[in-house]
Amino acid sequence: MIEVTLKINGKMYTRKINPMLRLIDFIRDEIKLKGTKEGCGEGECGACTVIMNGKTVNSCLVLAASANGAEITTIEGLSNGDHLHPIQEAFIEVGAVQCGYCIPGMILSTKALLDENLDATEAQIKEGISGNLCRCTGYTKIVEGVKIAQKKIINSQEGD
Amino acid sequence: MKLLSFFQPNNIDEAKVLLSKYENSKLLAGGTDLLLDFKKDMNVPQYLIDLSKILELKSIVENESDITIGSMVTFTQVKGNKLIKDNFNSIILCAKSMGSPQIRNVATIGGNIINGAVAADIVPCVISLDGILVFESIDTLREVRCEDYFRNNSIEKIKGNEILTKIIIPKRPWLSGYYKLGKRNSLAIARANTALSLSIEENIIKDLRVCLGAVGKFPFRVNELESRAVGKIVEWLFDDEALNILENTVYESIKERKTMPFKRNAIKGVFKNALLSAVESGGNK
Ligand SMILES: Cc1cc2nc3c(=O)[nH]c(=O)nc-3n(C[C@H](O)[C@H](O)[C@H](O)COP(=O)(O)OP(=O)(O)OC[C@H]3O[C@@H](n4cnc5c(N)ncnc54)[C@H](O)[C@@H]3O)c2cc1C
Ligand code: FES
Ligand code: FES
Repeated sequence: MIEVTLKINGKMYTRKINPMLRLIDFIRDEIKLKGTKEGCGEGECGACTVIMNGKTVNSCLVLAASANGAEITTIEGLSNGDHLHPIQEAFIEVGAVQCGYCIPGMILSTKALLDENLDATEAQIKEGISGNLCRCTGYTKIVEGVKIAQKKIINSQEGD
Repeated sequence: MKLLSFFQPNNIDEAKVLLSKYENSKLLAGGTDLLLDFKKDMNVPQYLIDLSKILELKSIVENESDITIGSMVTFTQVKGNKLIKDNFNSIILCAKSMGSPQIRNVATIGGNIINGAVAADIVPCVISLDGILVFESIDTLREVRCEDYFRNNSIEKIKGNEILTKIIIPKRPWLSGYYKLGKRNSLAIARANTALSLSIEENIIKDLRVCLGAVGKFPFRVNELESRAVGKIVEWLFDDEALNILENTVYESIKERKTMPFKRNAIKGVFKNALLSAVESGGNK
């Protein structure tokens, strides 16, 4: 067993873990944050996407031990109390969510993309979410949702 | 085997000491190959040495005659790096086509080379740019041309106490290009890639390196095409004479395999696209 400390959604968590524990298991089983989903478990589907030190990763392919000291954002870290994040609002408004299984990962990929490039073009949006598979929506509504989120964020920044 | 301990050294020296001290140990980079092995209970070592905290291995540095890429540099880092953009178009194209954003964010150049899958994307680029691999252990340092590393793998293969620390790529005013057919998960039949670099003066080919991937046990150069091309105009490379050399090379390399009839034809298109990507990059080398 080894001791690791991770900062998840702004809170520090220290746990003694088996060094083979994956980051997704740390998040879901140790911290009990169940918004992060496991799909393929092999880096293909992106359902397990979280943001680690500003970059998206597949949490099924990262060891929690390796993430020691890292800052992680999961889907639970996006809303501010009762206020949803603009990306979440946009996805709901446009009807980008069907079964919802891919959505936490999809939203975190969108967040990482827009944090880096708020003016992303449609091609850049598609590339940005290319590591997230959705078997329900056909992606059109999702891309629309990202565009609405861009506008919402830009408007809120102008309002500041 | 069961994992007993996990280490996270802060510098290369610490990692070398750990590696020599613990015989049954393995290095962990981005983990995108290794964790899939662990999932199948394959290759689980007793000791895992995680290189992710070693900053020395994460930089891309320009020297007088080369650019040195640390083994822990990720594909995302490469893709956005100005030195690489200004010098090695083929590596940029390769990094863009590799995996997904999430994979590129953690997958390292060093891991790609050492894992050495037949279709490891960066390898043809490094070979066609005459790149050199640097291996260090607690008491040794050796430099091996990437081409020789794979060609003479039984001799040159990384030793249990060695770390690949960096990749040295000579700077030169050549053009370079890359093209890949098929994704990693597509059927093996639909996979092939080509990286090339060339020096041209007034439309005459002065020098050429062509490396094919996923059409043999390891990526390899097409020496016959390289030597025949010297002194010819660039357009010659699009002619049947040149393309037939490629077709025959692939035929000889994988004639026993079911994928051969497809790949010997596909390689011509893959090569032409790689060449176009080099020529179009123009002044952007
Ligand atoms: C969904 C998915 C998509 C992928 N797509 C592609 C693709 O398009 N193209 C492609 O080429 N690959 C692809 N891969 C494979 C993989 O991501 C790459 O091979 C990657 O570059 C491996 O690097 P890593 O840092 O993750 O290596 P790890 O998994 O950490 O290590 C791989 C091996 O290299 C050894 N190693 C790592 N670093 C060093 C070092 N510095 N010195 C000595 N030994 C070392 C490790 O011990 C291990 O044996 C994909 C993988 C997944 C899961
Ligand atoms: S569960 Fe991690 S990528 Fe599919
Ligand atoms: S909404 Fe069902 S998988 Fe995307």
